[in-house]
Amino acid sequence: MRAVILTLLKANSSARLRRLRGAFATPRRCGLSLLVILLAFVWTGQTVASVLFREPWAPDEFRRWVAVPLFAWFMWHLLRVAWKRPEAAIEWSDEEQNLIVGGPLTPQQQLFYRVVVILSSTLPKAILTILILWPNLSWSSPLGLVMALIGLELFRMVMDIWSSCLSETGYRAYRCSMVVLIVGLMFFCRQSAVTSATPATTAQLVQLARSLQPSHIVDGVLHNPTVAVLAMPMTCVADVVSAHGSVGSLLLKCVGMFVVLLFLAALINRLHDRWLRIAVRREQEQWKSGLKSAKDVIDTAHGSLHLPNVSLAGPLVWRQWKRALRYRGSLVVSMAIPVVLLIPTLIQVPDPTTAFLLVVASALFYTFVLLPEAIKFDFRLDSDHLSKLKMLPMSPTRVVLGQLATPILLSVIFQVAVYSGAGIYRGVEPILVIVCLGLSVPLTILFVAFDNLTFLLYPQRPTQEGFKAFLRTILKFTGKCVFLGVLAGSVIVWAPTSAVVAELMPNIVAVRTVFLAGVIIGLFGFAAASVGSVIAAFRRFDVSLHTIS
Amino acid sequence: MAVPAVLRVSDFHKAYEGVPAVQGISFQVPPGQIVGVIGPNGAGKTTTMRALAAIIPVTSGRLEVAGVDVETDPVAVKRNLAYIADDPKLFPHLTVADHLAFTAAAYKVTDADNKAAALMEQFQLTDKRDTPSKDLSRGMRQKLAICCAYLYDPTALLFDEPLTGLDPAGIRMLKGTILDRSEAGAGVLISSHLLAMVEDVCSRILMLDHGRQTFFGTVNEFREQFGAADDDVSLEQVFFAATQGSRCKETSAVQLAESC
Repeated sequence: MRAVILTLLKANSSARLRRLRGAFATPRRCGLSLLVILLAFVWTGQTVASVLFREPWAPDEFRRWVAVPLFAWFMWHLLRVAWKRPEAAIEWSDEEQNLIVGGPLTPQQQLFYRVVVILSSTLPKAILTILILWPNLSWSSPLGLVMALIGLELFRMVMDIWSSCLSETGYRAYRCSMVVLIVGLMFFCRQSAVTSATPATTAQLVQLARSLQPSHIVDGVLHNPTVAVLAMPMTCVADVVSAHGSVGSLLLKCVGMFVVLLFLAALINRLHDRWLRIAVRREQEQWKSGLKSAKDVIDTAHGSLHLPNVSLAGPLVWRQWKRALRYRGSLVVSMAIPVVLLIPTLIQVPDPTTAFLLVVASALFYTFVLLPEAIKFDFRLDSDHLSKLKMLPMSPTRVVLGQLATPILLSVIFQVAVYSGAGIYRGVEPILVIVCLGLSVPLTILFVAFDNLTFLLYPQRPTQEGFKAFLRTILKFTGKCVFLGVLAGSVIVWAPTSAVVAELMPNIVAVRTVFLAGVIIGLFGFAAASVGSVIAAFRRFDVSLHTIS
Repeated sequence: MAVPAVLRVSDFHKAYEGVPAVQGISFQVPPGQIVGVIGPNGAGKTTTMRALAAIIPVTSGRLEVAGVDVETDPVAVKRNLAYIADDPKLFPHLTVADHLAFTAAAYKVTDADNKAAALMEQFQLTDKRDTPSKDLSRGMRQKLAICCAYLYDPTALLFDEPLTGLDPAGIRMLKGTILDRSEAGAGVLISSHLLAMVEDVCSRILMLDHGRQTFFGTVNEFREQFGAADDDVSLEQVFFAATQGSRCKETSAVQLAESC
């Protein structure tokens, strides 16, 4: 290994420290950073305290619970590449492209650098996990955890490189198989939960909630034959982590895990070699087809030019919409999965209104938790274009509205489709569908605006990982909780007030109508205020002060 | 009656997190004039241009584009101005035609189809019209950024290192179009380290050093001030004399050239 790689790794560490110091460079950054650190201490401290002062779990339960997140992580790496294929087997930053790929290093040395960079983030994760599991740990646990986490990171690399090597047809087949697998698993999971208790009334919902014990679902999932096969290596890891079995068998399993790690490393090396060959072949094919298409274009280029019609939606909405269409496959998948999962609820719950409200609640929860990650067609994907957006001859209001429109529109389309479909299928009152939409739309605007506000206050690249990304996630999470708290508080205050307001207009309007109208108007007010905050943040945003690393 | 300046900068200051980057710059560019901004790295050239383009806020001073204050009405300023950065950040997934369509819509350009077709022909982008900008070469991206800027016929043009990545034919063509635009009445500001290019197209020079304005005047005045009235001495030699002048005032441009 060249000394230059070590030097570069050292320089990377120094740069990270420098960036961390940069987070305290100005009063605004310092204030935000301190707030985030305080929140991190509060959340992490609570977690650590609740871990350290808890009773150790029963060994069997602990063993089962160790296997589940590792299995979930493993599944995530399988699914992630099916969701979004990496553009290259190894995605180098521009700087790495110049220094590492362009440097006098062999492919193996470049790969070694990459592996070390990825594994360097594994150690803090392992330490954190050890801390969380502390009351249940024994002598073999740290070793098992570190090896498991390293294994998962190596598996991630394997998946990235392998999926890049696939042909278009192969990748499509892989994607389909993953969709079938995940829908099947989740359908099974949901089915077992729903059939255990099917509520006929709202009161029985409580019973349903009680029956949805996590351990019940986990047992159900782990006993599924497909999952049992996929999770087998994880149960082996769980044995080592929970020191389940004799010392001899544990040592044997440790050796086995080490062999798996070596195998993964060798596989990465081999796949990388294959990728390099495939990349060259693809370049040659592209060159040939490029020559052909260039000729076609030249042949037809002399016709009159018709630019796309942008004026209808406005240039920014049009641009984001075009970008969203590029990812239409992922968008359809991300919206189809919850729909499929909601079908058993919609069919099996006897009371139509309860069934409809369950679907609405689930869809709303999905819209706020998972969907936003798939529809970041706003400022969050424009970290490199903020100067260009600032340069446009538009007021900050127009820029912000144009930027936020696409994710809001996509979410609303999803909600309208799900609510209308469920409402028509179960024959609920149309007014109920309209009221649910009236509540969902402002909430969607609120959350999209909040995500963008956080970005403009604390910009980062979408793919950024590490400590700062962790702190930022905490800030967003806390902010959303505070938002929801304020909203819930406002609704609680409004409930008795609406009764008083309705009493002022006897025989004209019902209390429920006043209450709902107030909530919807209030939510739209909050939504407008949050969009206003984004406009103010964009107006104040100084591209010269925000170096996005 | 005096013709109002296209660009007017009065006592402009800019500080980054308390560190001064530009200190007290004042100059103006009348219609039809091309001003070259020169100076060593970190002199404040790009900062001045970005402030004029209303991309970054002004710490103090007054900046005007076609008589409109940058701080009070940035939207009107942007409508009359084009800023072409040295590394233009284009939207990677939009094609060449999409970029022109986007610009036409953002700047409300009339007859955009014909103007875009003519520009694409002029900048040899016609056969790339359906290529996403991420697949264009460095020079092609630069050409596309220039096409987008020319599409709405701005009154003021700011070029930051405009020749980066362009081939010799592209350089010649760009110089020609800059002169054409200037003759049509546009005020042009060009920041460049290629002093031969500055000498070719600029009528005036603005020299910055460490955020301060060290010279503003005609090319001949620049030569005279820094001790090289002789036309045979290149602008590059004069520039070296000017930038080293603060350290050794006695060294003339010719002496310096000889010592090299």
